[in-house]
Amino acid sequence: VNPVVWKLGFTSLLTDISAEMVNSILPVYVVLHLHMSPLQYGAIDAVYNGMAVTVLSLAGGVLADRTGRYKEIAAAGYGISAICKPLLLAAGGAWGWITVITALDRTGKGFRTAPRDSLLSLHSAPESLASAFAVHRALDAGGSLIGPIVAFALLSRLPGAFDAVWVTSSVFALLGLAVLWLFVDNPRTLAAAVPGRVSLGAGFGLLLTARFGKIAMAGAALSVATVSDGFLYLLLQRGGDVSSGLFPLFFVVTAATYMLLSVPVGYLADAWGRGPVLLSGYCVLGAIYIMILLFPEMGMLSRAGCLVLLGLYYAATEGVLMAMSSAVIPVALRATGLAVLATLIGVGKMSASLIFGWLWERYGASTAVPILALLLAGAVVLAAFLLRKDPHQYEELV
Amino acid sequence: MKNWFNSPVRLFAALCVVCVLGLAGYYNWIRNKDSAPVQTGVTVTAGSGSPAVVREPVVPSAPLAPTAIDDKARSVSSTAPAAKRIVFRNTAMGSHYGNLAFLNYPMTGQTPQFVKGFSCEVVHVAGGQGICLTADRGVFTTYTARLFDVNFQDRFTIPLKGVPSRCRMSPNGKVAVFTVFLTGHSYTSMDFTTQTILLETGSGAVIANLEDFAVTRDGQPFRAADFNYWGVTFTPDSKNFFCTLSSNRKHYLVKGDIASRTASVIHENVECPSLSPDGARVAYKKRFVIDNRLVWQLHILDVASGKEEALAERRSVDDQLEWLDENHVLYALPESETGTGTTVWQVSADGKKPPGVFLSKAYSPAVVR
Repeated sequence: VNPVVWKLGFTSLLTDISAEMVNSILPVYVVLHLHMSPLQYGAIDAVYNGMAVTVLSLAGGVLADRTGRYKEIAAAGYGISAICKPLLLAAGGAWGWITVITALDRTGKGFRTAPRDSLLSLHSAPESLASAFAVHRALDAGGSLIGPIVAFALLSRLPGAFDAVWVTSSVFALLGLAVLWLFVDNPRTLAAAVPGRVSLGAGFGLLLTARFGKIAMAGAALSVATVSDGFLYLLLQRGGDVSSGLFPLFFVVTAATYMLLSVPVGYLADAWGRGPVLLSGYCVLGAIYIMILLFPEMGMLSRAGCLVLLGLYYAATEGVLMAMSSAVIPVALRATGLAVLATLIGVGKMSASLIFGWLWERYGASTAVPILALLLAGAVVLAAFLLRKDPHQYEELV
Repeated sequence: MKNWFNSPVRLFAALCVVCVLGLAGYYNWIRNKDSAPVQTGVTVTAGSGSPAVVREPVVPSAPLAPTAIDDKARSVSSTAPAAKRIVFRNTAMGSHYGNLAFLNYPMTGQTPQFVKGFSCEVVHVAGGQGICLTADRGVFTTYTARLFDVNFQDRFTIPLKGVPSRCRMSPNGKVAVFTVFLTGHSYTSMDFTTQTILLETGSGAVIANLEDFAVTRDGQPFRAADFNYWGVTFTPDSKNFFCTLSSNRKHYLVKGDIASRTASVIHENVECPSLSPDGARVAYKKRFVIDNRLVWQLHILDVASGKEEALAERRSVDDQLEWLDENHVLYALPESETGTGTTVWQVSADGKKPPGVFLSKAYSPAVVR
């Protein structure tokens, strides 16, 4: 794996420490210390999932391809999020500002993802793409694991000192940005990019090409059967006596598994084929659905098992899909194409959560989960058909 | 020197050193800032540095729990103010932040007394019994309900499944109730649901989860998967309660009967009700959406006639009110836009007189009658 991958990984690690420090304590801050009701907090959440983020990720992709300045565009995205942390300090408890800042933070995330993933793929040999993404995602997961621990450690030493969390978070964000700026360079092969050809239309046009089109269709179909972690955690919590104090533990187990398994699974994907690994990952997700369905009152150990499986699912799917797509998107449209794929998957996951939430509310979990499992089974079959072995999967496209 | 910084590695190392030193200095500054003496409470003249450890039965002239007060005596108290005690959560920054504190009422010339070892997010005291919801912060924050007696001795502790919201003690001290938010996951959806549980203070046992109550509306059974209950207030006889039931974005006032596990809808758009000591009126926050923002205005509902009246407080209040006496209610508001301090305000229940500060640096006031 190219050293650039590690550098981008450390950028993400530091940025994720920064982001998750804030995310993990923001609910407590808002509800317990600003005495705002959860409903008002819901407004923040709505902003989090706003479509504006999707639009901006497309903009980030097109801009990166147009200019060839992947690093600079990604840095702008990281910078936007970095600025948000000292802004939280300046906002104090002002309600409106917290909403705006949270939105801005997500905007930065949307903006940087496609150029960052392009840098990863452009710096990697086609045959080791899955390994490259795996290393990056492992470091990324590590950051989201460390962040909450730093935040809570700080708060236990300095009770009520939320300011200290915002300041520390700013410092980590700055360091992350510094790693990207000082150590990562744009790929030299950029001369290949033809500026005139890059547009959003061209990006969506990729969907009509045989190979990317198939991968994108498979990814979109699978995403529609994928509910957000929040729902899975709730389903797992529902079964028995789990206090929500242990909720963060759910996340820790998942993220730790993701971090540990990401690299081995990534190597496996490069060695054995990415399609089979991707599909196996979704089968693992299906296994979790089935376990929840069959054993609603499962014990603590089985629940931990489900969380480990969830980590494995992430390790086998998230980076692998990006690697598969990177292998078939022409260099000139790399960032745009990845942004298009991310948008499709984002919309798919959002609809999955909306549909599942509605089913759960209306008919209860015992109806919603089987429907979801069937949907997933259908999607896996469809994806397996679309991703039949492609002998040219490592061929470099320009 | 210029040459030296041309190396990205050295530049990054220098940046790291600056960051580490800066953070260390900043933490140190915060720590010193916090340990500086802070004035606690509006009636305090000197800094209340020395915590008063309460372990003995408190001042005999104003017992925390007049156990033998009957309802007649209580209704008389509105005309002839009896000695009372205000128990609250201290929100002054410093070593007593979040501590349970109390003052005798009227409060002139007193320093708040802090109860050692009691850190409460919310607290309520009545009938010689108290309930306090605490947060034990750590990497995994856990929450506990503590039932305590006259001498602030723990009687029972009950682990909570979520973030504390409200708690109340029945006038006779036999039934306690708490509401917690069962959260989604903070990394993804923060879709809150509530859990409200009635406890028997004598044994610490759970009497019922309000979700298990049979609810009727206009005489018809009323059921939905999205039911959420919060803001319980007990009737003077401690056998019934009022609370908010939300379903499909509506907020109903329901009256519940503890013995029969039944409840009926009696009004709409009432959140966090609080019954007056005589049980005739409900003080509550009424929800309005103004410019897409949620605003709560304080109102009083006459239970018998169903007549609503707005109080003179124009700010949005997100709190469950507490009756000071038959004519005044108490509630907390953030002290400022920035910061975690809160102030307890007082406003007249007839809607005529404007609000005034009751107690600064305080939250969750409980009036011990």
